[in-house]
Amino acid sequence: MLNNNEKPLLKVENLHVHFKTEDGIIKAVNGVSFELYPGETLAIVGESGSGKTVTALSTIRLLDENGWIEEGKIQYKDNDVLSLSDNQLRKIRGKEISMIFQEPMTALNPVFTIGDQIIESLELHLDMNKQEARRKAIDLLRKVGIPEPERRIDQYPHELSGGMRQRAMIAMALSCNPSILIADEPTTALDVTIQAQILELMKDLQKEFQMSIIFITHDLGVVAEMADRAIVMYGGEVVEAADIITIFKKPRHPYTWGLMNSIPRIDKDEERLLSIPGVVPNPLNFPKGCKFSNRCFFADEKCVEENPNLEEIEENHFSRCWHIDRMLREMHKVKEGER
Amino acid sequence: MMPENEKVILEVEHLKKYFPVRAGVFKRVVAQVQAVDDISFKVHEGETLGLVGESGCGKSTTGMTILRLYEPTFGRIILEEEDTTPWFMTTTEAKRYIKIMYADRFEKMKQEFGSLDEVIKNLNKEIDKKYAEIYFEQGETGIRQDMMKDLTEKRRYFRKNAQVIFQDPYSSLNPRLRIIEIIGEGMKVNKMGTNQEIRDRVAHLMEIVGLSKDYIYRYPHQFSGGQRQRIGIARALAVNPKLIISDEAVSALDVSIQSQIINLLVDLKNEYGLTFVFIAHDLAVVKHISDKIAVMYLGKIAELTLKKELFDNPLHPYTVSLMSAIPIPDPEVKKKRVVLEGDVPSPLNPPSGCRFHPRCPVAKEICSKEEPSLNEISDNHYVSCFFPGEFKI
Repeated sequence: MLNNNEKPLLKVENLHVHFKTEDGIIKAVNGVSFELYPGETLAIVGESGSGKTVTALSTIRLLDENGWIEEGKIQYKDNDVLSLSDNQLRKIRGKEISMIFQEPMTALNPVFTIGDQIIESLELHLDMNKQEARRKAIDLLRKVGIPEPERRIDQYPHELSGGMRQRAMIAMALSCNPSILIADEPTTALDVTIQAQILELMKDLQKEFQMSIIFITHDLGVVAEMADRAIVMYGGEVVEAADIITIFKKPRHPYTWGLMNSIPRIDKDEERLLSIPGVVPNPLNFPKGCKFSNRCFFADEKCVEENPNLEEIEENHFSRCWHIDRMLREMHKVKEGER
Repeated sequence: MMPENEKVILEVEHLKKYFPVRAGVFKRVVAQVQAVDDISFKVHEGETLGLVGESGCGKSTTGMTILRLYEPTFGRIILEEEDTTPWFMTTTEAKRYIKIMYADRFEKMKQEFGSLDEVIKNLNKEIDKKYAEIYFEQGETGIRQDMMKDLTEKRRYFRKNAQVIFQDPYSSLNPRLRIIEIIGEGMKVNKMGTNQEIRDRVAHLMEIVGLSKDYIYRYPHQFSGGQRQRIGIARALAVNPKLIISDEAVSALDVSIQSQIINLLVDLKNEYGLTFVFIAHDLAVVKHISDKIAVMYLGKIAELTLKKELFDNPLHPYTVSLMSAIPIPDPEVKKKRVVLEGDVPSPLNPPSGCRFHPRCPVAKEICSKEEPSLNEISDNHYVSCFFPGEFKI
């Protein structure tokens, strides 16, 4: 899917996002760059506090009041997102770039029917009249697999099950044929059989609407299934980026490798899981060198002192690590030692 | 794997838990949510039984009912050869329970078999034999006296021996207590030593679960989620329980922390021969930690067998679908998947016949009419399906 001849749809360069809190300024995102090409699915992988959601939200400037983009450049098609006026931005947000969230119950407005909420965006962005919009909304609900859309359209979010709510939210997000869908942990709160339904639906709709998806998740199974490319984040930085096969088959950052080996799997009988020692530090006191150095199996003084750059170690494969060679030499030993 | 003759720690028989739904001015019961409906299983010493299923399948209710955080609607909960069911009931409830569970049953058997010896010969369980003897010597009052004497002590015995680890490490630790009090409280209540001894043991337990003993006087808010879960585990271990029920103990944790806690549980289990009921929605996690797995669907056990057998040879269509729905973290594995239609129905109004039939890919006419029972299809492999093994992918 990766096609370098094509122009990226979205280009983020050296993004820094800061938040002001009582304890000080939190640097949630530190110099993240990525590109999103038409029709591809890019996964942003990371644990809580890695900055994956903030990165994605920043692309449409959806930050909480205490957060701001300190530095960076975001280009969507020919627009410089950071210099757009609020009015101009509103034309992109929800229309060309739309979002779905983890918890549809909190993302949907409980006092309006799902129909009202879809129709609102159709009227606003596509200048449809009420009847047209309603017809289109029923169409969309049918498309996302909601049975009896004519009846469901007049129901309130609480009358739908979790899976149905997520479908309704997808219908809403797709109402204006967006070119980018940002999906923030869209299946995390769902049961696996419902998750399977939603993932299939997203794949089908992506083909039909020819959109690009930014898929934010911590679930490596979902990443493997959905994404064409992935970027792995830790401590507000990209630590590794590559196409999906490379990321899974040839991880070249200790954090990526650790994550891959620390999940229990149903397709393998592992005796013991690898466990990455320690916890993600408080964002106010990350180590000053490599952010991962205090949890890394392969770190030395250099790592503690100096943060490595994200280097292209082979074509289209980026990693931020001083000691890739050592990792390759010693990873089996580490795994054995853990056992 | 555990041999069959191994000591049974926990036996659950025909457990039911219904929650009444009340409505109207007089709060009349208008319906029953059948959260757990007639499930039975055994857990042997040193064994881990995984209870797995989607939300609303009754897995947590099962755990909470065993712990008597909910009073069971029906059924018997035996902890190491002792019927613990009436221990937490009111006197009237207990009386009724003993009549139904023992007196009526023995009376009926006496009429059927004639003599007392024959009745006892026809009972398989030690506990039934014991109470049959008491019943025929002293009558129903005898059983009641035996079961209901020293209730305070029995309740304390039960609370000591059935421990729990909860999902949310934030709300399950009292924020006003120090770690030494949280972990040591059970030992204190059970008079397991002097203050000095308790403090030493708390320090020792903290090291076992991977916390520095220097933190013994800290408060829960000074710990991260993973560390709190370690405290919860230490608390459960403190009183040397016979059984630990873990309810989604690793679900709220980040991936890298989750593997730390899973490894800790596996180590503790191997080292101390702990007996676990491990409740979780994540089949991969359950697989990693369990010896035996029960797959639940809408308040019933769909399939129950040893772990390896379940994954090598899943027989219930729901098990097969559930396994196929789990995304594999390997982009080169393009697996075939059955996407189940629809949602899990409400336990308020479960489907007739087999509860899975509206979503089942191989359902036939009989499935909507009759309810399949949990049958032993092959050695130690129980399935509640009329067509076990028919659905494969």
